[in-house]
Amino acid sequence: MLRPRAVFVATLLVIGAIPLVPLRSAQAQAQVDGGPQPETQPVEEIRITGLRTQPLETQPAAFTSTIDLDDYRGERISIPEILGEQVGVQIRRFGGPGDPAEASIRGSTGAQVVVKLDGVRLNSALTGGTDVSQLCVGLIESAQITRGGDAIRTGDGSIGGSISFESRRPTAETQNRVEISGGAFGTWEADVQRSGTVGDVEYAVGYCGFVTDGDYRFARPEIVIPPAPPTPRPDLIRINNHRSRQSGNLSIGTDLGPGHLRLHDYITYTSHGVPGLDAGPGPFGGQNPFAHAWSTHNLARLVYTAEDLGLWGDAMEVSVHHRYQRFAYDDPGVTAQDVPVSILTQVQTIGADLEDSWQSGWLFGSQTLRLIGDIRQDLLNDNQIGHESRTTGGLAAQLEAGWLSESVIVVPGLRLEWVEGFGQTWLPALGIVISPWPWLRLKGNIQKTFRPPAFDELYLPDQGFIRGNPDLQPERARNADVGMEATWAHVGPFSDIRFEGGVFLQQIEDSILWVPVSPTTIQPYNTGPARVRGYELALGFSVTRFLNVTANHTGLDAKSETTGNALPGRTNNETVVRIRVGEPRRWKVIGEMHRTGPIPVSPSGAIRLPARIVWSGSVAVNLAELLPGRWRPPVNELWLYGTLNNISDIAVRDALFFPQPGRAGYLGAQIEW
Amino acid sequence: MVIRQGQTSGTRSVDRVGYRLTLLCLMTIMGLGCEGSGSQRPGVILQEPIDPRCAPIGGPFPAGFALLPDEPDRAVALRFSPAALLRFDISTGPPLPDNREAAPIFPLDSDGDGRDDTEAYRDAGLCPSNQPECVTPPIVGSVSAPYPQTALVTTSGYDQVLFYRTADSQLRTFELIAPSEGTPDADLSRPLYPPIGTRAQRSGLSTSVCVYPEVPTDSNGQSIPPSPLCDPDRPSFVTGYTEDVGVSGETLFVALSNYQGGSTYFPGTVLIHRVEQDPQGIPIRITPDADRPVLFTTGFNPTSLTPHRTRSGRALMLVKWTGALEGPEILTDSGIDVIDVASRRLVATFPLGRAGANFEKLEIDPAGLIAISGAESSRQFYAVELAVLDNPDLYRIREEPVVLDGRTPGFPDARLFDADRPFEIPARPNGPPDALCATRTAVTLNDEGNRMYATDWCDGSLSVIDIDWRLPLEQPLSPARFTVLNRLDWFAPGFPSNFGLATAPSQPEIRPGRPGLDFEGPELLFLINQPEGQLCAAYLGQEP
Repeated sequence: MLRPRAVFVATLLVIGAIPLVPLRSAQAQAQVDGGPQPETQPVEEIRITGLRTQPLETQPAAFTSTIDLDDYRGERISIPEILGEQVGVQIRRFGGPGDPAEASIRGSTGAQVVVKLDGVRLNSALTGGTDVSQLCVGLIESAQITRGGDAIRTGDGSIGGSISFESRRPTAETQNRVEISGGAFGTWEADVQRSGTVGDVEYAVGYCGFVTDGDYRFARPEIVIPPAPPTPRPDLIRINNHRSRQSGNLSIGTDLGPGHLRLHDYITYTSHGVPGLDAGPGPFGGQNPFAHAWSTHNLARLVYTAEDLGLWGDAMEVSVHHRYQRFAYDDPGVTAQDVPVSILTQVQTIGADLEDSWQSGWLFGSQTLRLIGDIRQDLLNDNQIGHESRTTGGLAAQLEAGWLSESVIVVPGLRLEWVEGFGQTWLPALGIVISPWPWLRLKGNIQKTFRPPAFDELYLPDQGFIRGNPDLQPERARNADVGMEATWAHVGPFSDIRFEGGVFLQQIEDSILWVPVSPTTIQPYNTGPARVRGYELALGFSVTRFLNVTANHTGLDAKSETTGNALPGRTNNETVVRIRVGEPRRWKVIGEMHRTGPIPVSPSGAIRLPARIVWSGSVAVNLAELLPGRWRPPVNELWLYGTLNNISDIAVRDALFFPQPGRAGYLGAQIEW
Repeated sequence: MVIRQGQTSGTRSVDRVGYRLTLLCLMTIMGLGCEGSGSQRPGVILQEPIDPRCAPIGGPFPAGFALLPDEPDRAVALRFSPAALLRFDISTGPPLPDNREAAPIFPLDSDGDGRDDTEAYRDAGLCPSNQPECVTPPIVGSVSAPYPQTALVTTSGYDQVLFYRTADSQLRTFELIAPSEGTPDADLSRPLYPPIGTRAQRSGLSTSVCVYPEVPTDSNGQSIPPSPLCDPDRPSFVTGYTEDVGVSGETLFVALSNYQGGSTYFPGTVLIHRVEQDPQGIPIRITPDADRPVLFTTGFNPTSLTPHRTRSGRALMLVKWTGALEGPEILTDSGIDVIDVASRRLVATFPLGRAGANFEKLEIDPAGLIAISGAESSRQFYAVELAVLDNPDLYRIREEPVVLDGRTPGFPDARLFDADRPFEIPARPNGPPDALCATRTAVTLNDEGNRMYATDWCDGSLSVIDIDWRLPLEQPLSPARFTVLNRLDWFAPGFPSNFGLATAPSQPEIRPGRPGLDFEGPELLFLINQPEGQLCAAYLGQEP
């Protein structure tokens, strides 16, 4: 009989070796993207969103939001939708369910936000951006958003901030969960999850499947040039927008020596049509009925954590990871004049991370010294770009020193980042937290961040109309923010009151933008300085246990300092209000209002998408709690739910040529036992 | 304990209400229906001017504009997406949109043959073998207004010339007469024409024609195989990429570049049609020329047609061919072919060398002495002298057109500025280097022909050039008669950091007549191409 621990070690040997096989055996073809990332962040978490609230935890200097995905049980909601509800975060969607979406934090581009899953970077080595729609809610346990630069712990790329997801973790007791939902546009999603322990080994394993026809009808925008009436255009159907996605996660761990060893793996395979732009003539309005893409993405990370190691640290974490991404695209051409396009890109990343911390109590206060080191190598193999590689590494030290019972905390930090081809960069940071009362926290940060150009920006081959620019310089930024957080347990009829407000300023040098450099060619260039400033307000409270309200508002002023024009793609204000009526574990009715201000969609700022308000709602009942005893199912939870998005059926676009669906309804069920 | 009981009772009461409410809401969701169209409030996108001289055309890539000879205060501009013809009042600065009714988009059946364009294209077998289900709608090209109340719009993909009413931006129909059986033209397959010997009402003149090049070699020197749509025994291809139209009397010429993608061009063609007009001059009946329906240009990539009449009254059509391009890179020579309208023969050619002459029509001075062209990827212009076209010997029947480079006995070198001797326009001192922005130069002449204005795509400027016509005129003309007077730095230079500011001017056009006497408003019209398409107008009165 095999001992569980022996099985686990054997599994590690097998699974850990798998990623290295293609890398080693096919160096000529291997392409890697990724790199070592610091994992667990000892940053304080403040739950300002979702349905749970809790007292202020240990003080973070950073502005962070932590999302517990279980807060959304009994709701049909996607990762982009959850992120889009958070203060300071704008989601740019490029379609409907399952279609690409990227996150912008405090007016950043998608490439200026580092997105990680289980400590491994998800950002594309080709474009720098991350399609957050590829993550399945059912397989994700939590997310932490850091607004403002996060260079000390995350490294390069986090000019706007970072988002760190964690997949489902093992549980002490066996838990099973099944969820299925379906509805508009032939969209179906199902996930199955099981977690528990076998002997000394803990595990969590899950599967998530998603399919959609994606064939929604959409209204085409009317361009108005007063005083002439706009040219009317009939509605169109989003064609070739079907999508199938299969995802799985595995997490197994066991105690080993003084610490704990765990392996995470998350794999996704997607096959989908690529409908292209809604910008052209003909029966499909310029959409592409033929193009198709396939992608495979696997993240594997082996991490060892230990505490109380004496001189070796009070909390240490060391990990290695591997990431493999394969992307294939085939477009036979739409018109008779089009040239067929076939792209095959493979990226592999191997990396290692180390984080250790020491605590002390000198100078009448408490100190935590944290040392962080990481290194990764991206290997790219692309049938257009060819073979490219890049090694990135960083060393950082951060001190968190508190006095007067943590009423004053100073968090200085310094990171040395080295990127192959761009040399070394020093990234200092300083955070200060003052808590005059336990319910109030004042804080501020200043720091430097930077983002090296992505492979496409550097090396995209000259195709006549588009080419990369090997002379690009990294984007460099200075971030500053100040703000306050307050929480009260009860004020009159209100409870769990939480308020957060802050202002931020970001100065970006050498912004990278794709611009036309001749009448016929576009190319990325460093286009000079840009400035982003704004404010964030978030409020949450409950009235009895049957009513909970969360609301936030983000104001933004993002401009190119060279032209004075608004940076395209960002709205100048966004408001989200979410009201939940009911008992979270028994039944709930949720209404959401999402107001988005005008979005400039041209570099001149002269073309703007109109402001909009999108109303959504959902209802859910937990039959395991509500049904009488003899009818009650023998499970912990049995949720039946319905969701109606965009109730007023208005036209929604985040980008000029990418329509989003109108009203969409879904029904679903979720069982846990 | 009492409190606990009370709480439990309250909870049950709330549960019942909540349960019913939830069910009600679920039923409501079902009743509302799952799928909407987002059409309750379609997105209204407001586009604003980016310069006080300019009016937005709507969307990117302005395809061009044309002054209306019969409505001196109006112009039409072609919007790329959604494709439509827009009217502008140009008696004001900036121009004012003038469509009283909404300008309609291209209908799915744009040529009026009763079938959607893409279906007709597919059914005609025009889709390539590797993509038999291709979807090929018309893509707008250029616009011109050679007939009263009518604008002609060229389209590619679904290649044709669309006829528009300028009054309301609606399509205009005409009778298209297919070649008769037994005529030379009947041998040419026209897959989107009415059947041989028939006629039909159409709003688009198809320009897809099977042709058989005399020199069956493409711009890369590769042999051209027979097209499966044409005679399988001869090298052939179906014409495509309709570039421009030119009208001379009752003859309509259409130039096609026959671009094949990448750096490949098949030999350039000019299609010739006979046009019957009503008493107002509006075209009502069109048929391919029975004797010479197609001419091949002497170089690749014909991009513009300019009518010209010699001092002796001979009607000519000047065909500018740009040569093969790949991006800003010039791969083959440019030149100007001369077609004698009466005989429909190509009688002469002005070789310009590796010039990359631009796609705009030639500018010809009022006296008909010179024709000028801008450059597609340099800060230069080129010019040829037209006096040579008065030589009657030029129109004697020959096997090959006369090459007007001085090497043909009896004919002079008629080139004033060519690739080897261009007129270089000084760059803006604070403009981008050529390595950063390969520019495009377009020119226009004023009514007197003594002042030329040249837009510079990358510099964002407008150069003012004086032409000295003082007598006596030497032969050949001295290049010293051309002098740069001034440069108007109206728009931002095309540095990447300036992207977002109004820049990239092109297609300048001086309104005919005398300002203040023959018309009101600005004299100069032009396009701004970046970051969005704008039609602009400017006063030149104070300028030198």
